Amino acid sequence: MPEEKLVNVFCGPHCGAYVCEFQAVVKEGKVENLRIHPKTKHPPCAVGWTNAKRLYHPDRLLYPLKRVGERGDGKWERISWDEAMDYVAKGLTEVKQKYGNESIVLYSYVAHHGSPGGAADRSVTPLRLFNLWGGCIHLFDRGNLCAAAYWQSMRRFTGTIHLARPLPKDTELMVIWSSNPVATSRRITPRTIMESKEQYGLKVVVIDPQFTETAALLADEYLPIRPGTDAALALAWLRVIIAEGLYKKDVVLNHTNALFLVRSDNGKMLREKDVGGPSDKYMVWDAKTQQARTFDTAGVEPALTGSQTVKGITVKPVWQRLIELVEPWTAAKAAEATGLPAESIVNLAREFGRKKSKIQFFPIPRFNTTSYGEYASIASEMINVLSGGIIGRMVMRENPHAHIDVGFHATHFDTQVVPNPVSKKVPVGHLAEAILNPKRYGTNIKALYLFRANPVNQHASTQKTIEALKKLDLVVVADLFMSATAQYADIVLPACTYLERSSIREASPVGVGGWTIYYDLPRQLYYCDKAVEPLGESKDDYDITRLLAQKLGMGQDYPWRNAEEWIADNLEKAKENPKYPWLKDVTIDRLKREGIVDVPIPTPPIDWNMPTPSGRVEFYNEELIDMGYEPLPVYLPPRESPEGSPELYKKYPLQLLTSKFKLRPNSSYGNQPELREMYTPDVLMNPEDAAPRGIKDGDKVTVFNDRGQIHLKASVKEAIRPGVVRIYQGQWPADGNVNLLSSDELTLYGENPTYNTGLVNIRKA
Amino acid sequence: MPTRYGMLVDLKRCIGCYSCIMACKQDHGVVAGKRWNRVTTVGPIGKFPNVRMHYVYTQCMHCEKPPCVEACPTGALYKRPEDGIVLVDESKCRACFDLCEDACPYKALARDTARGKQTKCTLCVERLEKGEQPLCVQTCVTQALIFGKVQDLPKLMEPRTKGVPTHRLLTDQGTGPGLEYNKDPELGTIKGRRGKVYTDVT
Repeated sequence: MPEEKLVNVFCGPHCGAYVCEFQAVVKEGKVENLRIHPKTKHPPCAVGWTNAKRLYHPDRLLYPLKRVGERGDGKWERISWDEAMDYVAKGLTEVKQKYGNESIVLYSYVAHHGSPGGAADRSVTPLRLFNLWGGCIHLFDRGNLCAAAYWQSMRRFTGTIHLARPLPKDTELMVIWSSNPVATSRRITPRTIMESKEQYGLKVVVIDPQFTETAALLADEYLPIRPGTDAALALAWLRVIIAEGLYKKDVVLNHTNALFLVRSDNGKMLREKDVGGPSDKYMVWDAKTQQARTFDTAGVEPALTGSQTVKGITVKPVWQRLIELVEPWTAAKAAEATGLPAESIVNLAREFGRKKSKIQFFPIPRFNTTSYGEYASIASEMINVLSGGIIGRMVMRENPHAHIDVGFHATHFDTQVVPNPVSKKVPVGHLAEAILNPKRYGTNIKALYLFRANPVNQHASTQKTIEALKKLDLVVVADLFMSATAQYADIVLPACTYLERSSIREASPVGVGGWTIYYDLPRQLYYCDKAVEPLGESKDDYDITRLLAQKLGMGQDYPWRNAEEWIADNLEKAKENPKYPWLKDVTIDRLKREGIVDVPIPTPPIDWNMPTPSGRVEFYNEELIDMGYEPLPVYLPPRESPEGSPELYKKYPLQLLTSKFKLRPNSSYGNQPELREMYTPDVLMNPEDAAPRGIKDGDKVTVFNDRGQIHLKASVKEAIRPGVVRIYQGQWPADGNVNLLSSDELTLYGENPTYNTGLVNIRKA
Repeated sequence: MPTRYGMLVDLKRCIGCYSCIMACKQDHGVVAGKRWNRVTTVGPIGKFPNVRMHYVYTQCMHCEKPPCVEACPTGALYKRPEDGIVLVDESKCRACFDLCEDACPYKALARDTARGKQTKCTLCVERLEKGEQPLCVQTCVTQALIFGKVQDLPKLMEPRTKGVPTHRLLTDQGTGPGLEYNKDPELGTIKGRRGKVYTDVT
């Protein structure tokens, strides 16, 4: 009987801050089976279980390909690695010589987590090479595709996204707003919430236009909000909390800038120097002495309301401005905007305000990908700050990028990534715009080097992305499959799966965004050992990068012969760093042997020292004025919506949601047969919208707008608001890629695509 | 008394993630297009937004009186006397397929036409022998499946059932199914092969 060996491997296709560790059963150089890793407390999901099959997927790219027809013609010729990399190195060098490094874009991020290669947050492996070589425009240094509106607005509001919330087990009321963790964070969040419901009687309210898995399984109360009107709900909620005194006054006075005075003439905060004083300090209105004093004056009693004149300048406390802002947002007005019953809005606000312990859970909210996601994000987090849904911030250690702060990743950066000599940045969601309209960001992009990213499928406006790729001098794509994007490449490089390479990941066993509420979970290092040699001529990320380095004459910068050596060297360097004492007992052999290694680092401390200009939560943000935005959150109807574009709405009366799907992390695994058995790509619509169009459940339909059309099966079900339809994102072109319908408009300053703002119509195919 | 195994399916916990199905298919090499276990979406029932929806896990019920065993002309399908697990003796299976499939009201059989053998859930006998739980139970992310010997089950199930009587599927068939549910699965009807429709559960 052939010998059977167990190899520790993982799967982590952009499931956020976690990976699933497996053991691969290897016989005669083939992965026969997968087993749950014995140290795993949270079992793997359906997608993870298909990895052995994915390794041997019949469509795997097994050798390098060179385009012979026009881009997108699908005509290829097999070439050797030597020829392929010569071509790539020559093409890149030509662009560099002719236009400079600023004309080269590196895009490597989301399709395959785990360093080296597509790293946790950045593409460490190829980025280092490009930076050593003179730099590049590195996408994901600006904007994002998921949560940038939320993240960037939090940078203004609290200065950090690492906000501490009550733990679910200590919570009486949880509001899951604009998020579907049962589908997208299945390994831990649903179970934790279910256990809390069973054991502590936790009440759950779900706010979503769609009756999602989360609404079905977790909700005690379900509020079917109209898409993109979340800020209106939040403002009405704030109005109740403020008017009925349901907020924590100590938090308002000590941890926010609500007491500071704002000048009515220019909207800026009143500083001591504005009234003839020496300092830059913020001023408050002292109720005791009836004059403006610096906020830190001993014995000062800051007034939160009223309007005053100081040295001829009219000023009001931020709190007064907030009261005036929310004043018009009566329950009736919010009901009209959101489509929710006025009574529910008031009751929820009261309940949330009164409960001792509560959280709102929206790690990567859907409203973040609507036109004005920043305002919705700030307005909803303001509710949390006011009423105890946030208890401070987690004081993170070295690496602001890493969700889970082990230190390995930070060290990875410290030691391996040289600074990028190119300072030019382009929002990732506007890659195509920057290529087609060079003036917009002052760029002149000519070459694109893609490491398993799929912008043709996943960026808003597929048509525009294709048009842009066709304009370039050089497009190189490394992928497992001939993806929608690879089809427009000049050179396609065959990459390999987790099971064929060594990689490492610092993680915690939580789902996307889960780290924002489970900060007490253990920190761990996960290791993925190479179970089998790469199939055919496919190569691991590290090897591809090293080969390119050699072709660019930089072989000496990549002395490590393979990924394992590179990881081991990184680890040794991290261990030398006194910042990471907890890595002391970690060795590459131990990682390989154990797969999951607990890293004994303390839970981050929690405090209210916000990394903002005022050191407080900035309810009012004066920097936003300079940037051209509202300093307090407002509600504006989405650009494409019944109120935002009435003319367009007449033509396309259905609002489109492009939700994430439980069996497909974005577009990855969209071609996996075992998973595809479980679903048919569909558009979910309410019977009220289907009937007048003569559409029945299961009918083939065409979904269309001015940008394009796709064909799908209709799921006519009472599971979504009338006037709203849902198509899952990540479907490959043959299944109906929803980005043929989406617009590449970005949110305000977060520069996130507005995937969940769009109008369409549907007809029977 | 011989051992018999049973399972409680906590319908308040099943989230329809299909991890159990993919794990089972991968581990047992179940052929493409076939499954040893299923998750059926029930609902949405009602008018939006006052609707409900849940997922119902089913698999071979390892029945007390398995109709597939009765229907099998060759004795390939059999019930192990020592623990009541219903298995296929592949050496005896003559690939007539329809007889057992028509007999089973739970759609639990998964024919492998290429090999000419009937296949089905084995309750992971190889794991049970090592003292482990079946893989579907191990991989359930919400711990919606509770597995054990029939005599131990009431105690194991109590925290989930809270004393409320459990439901079983298609009791009118008289098969004595081994899976219990902690609320009404509302499955409606299960369509068998050739349009044969079985009625609802108790």
